[in-house]
Amino acid sequence: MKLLTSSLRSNQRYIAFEIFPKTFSFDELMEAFEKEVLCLLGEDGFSRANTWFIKNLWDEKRGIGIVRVCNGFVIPVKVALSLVKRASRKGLIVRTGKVYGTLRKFKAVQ
Amino acid sequence: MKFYDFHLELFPDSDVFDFAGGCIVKNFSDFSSYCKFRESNDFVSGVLLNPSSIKELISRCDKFVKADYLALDCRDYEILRYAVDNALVDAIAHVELGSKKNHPLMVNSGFDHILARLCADRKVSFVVCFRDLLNSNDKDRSSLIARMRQNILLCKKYKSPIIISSGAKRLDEMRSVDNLLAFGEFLGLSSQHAKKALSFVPEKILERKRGGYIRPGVMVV
Repeated sequence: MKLLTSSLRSNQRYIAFEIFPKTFSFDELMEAFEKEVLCLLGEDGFSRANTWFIKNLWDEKRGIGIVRVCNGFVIPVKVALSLVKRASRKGLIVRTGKVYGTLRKFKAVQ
Repeated sequence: MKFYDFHLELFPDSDVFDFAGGCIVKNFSDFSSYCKFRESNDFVSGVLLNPSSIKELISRCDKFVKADYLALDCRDYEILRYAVDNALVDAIAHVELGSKKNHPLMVNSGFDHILARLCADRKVSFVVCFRDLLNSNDKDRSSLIARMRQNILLCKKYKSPIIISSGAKRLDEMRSVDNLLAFGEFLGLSSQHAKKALSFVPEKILERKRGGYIRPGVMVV
């Protein structure tokens, strides 16, 4: 199947985040994050936001990761991430950071 | 730009705290215990008042008139109106909490255009706490967001000062500058206004208190 043309694709933004304490696996986090984003945005908003937690950029030692969202949903997804209180019954603080337009820029900063 | 978390209820942890300063509010019984607390830490110290009547409000405000920051935590409209009308406090907080029945035409948020106009005239800030949203249940969260949005709308219309704070009581309730800015924008503020709510408004409160301000027209010379 061919890709959509670039004019039909929505622009993406990449939100960097950091967690405290740094003792969570990617799967535990993703479950908690997706639950909270779905709860705040609803099913319609969740489908439009098109959130994607990028696994190969998750740094478990430093507790730093990145989530991709559609352009108009940066603020609601940031709020949803900061509303995450616990993952797999352990307390958690999520700090969102800078928003990047490309992954190359994020990698350069890291 | 320096950002302040101006309505904390605990000493912040340095790992998570990325603000230039903060204000710790507590419920004190008398002014001497407040003075002791103020001298024991580097943060700005504030007093949180939760009176049950106007009489109690007046007596407690007289006691703490020289405090750096006076915040009122009250759900009673009459008490709120009296406090704001007479500029007895610097800020009002947690107004939207509590079980209130909504009107068919509007959300009952505990704050109306009269209070918003008085807040703007008397320079009383409206505090929005992230903790209220964080600790709400899934069912209550939607109505709480609606109430907060309506209050922010009124504050924007009448140009009342707004403070955004984490309002943390526990360490895991603390949030970063970026999170609180996003929270402000989520509730309907522009990014400029959200930044102002975290930096300019707290700075102004501190500045006027250091200049001897007590309330409009009253100053220690």
